[in-house]
Amino acid sequence: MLTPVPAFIAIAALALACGLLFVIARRLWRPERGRPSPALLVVGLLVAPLSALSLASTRMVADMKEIAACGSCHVMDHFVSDLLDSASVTLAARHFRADSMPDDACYACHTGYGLAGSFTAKRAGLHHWWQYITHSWTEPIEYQGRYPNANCLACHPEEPMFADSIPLHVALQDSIMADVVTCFMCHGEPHARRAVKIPGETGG
Amino acid sequence: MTRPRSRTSLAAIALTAAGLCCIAPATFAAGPVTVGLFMAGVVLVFAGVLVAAVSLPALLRRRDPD
Repeated sequence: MLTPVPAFIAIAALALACGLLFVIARRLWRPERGRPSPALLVVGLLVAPLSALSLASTRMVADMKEIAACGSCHVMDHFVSDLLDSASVTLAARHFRADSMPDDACYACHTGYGLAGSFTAKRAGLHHWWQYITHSWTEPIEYQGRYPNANCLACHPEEPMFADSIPLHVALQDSIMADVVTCFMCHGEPHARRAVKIPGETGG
Repeated sequence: MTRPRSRTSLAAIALTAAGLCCIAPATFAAGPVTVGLFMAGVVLVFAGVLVAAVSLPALLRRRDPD
């Protein structure tokens, strides 16, 4: 995975690529000004656009992990406001207050680990985007499938959890590892419940 | 009046430039609109680069591919 570049570098790369395209187009349009050199053609038509696209993609992928990106669809207002609510007792808000994942709180918990997890998250995000622009989602918004305990255990080490100090964890260890018992059953709701809202309706 | 030497190359340039312009807003903020523009931009850039790659050999030989 490429390291995300600052936004100004991505913009500079895009501007440079557009500038080279302009120079090539001008020379092709008016060849009496001199035909573009082979190097300029290869760099301007192939290398620069693809490089700029790559740099912008790293920035885009990094921005998509932030809470602001998830909250940019108004249907997510309820979840984001609960996350940021200092009085909320939901798991998401408590984790956010603990400063355990300040910038990418949504992404940290809603993405499985490993390459497959990132790919699945991107595919789900694309599906959510399509539902949003086509107003085809259904209320109330609910987590599809079953939330794997492995996502919790990735940050909360198994060793102290299943030590003798917490007898219930020890007793339920096999069920927890098999996802028969979920962490939410004892540790509370991850997000606040919301009222049913019609797709396309504005407001939180 | 000067005519374009290569309409294919200019079409490739137009596609690529349009794609890059669509991608630019996504570097500032990620949201539903910019994500849509970004995906459209990716398609346009790849289309432009593909057309450019096809017309490039003729351009390098200094011949008009049209």
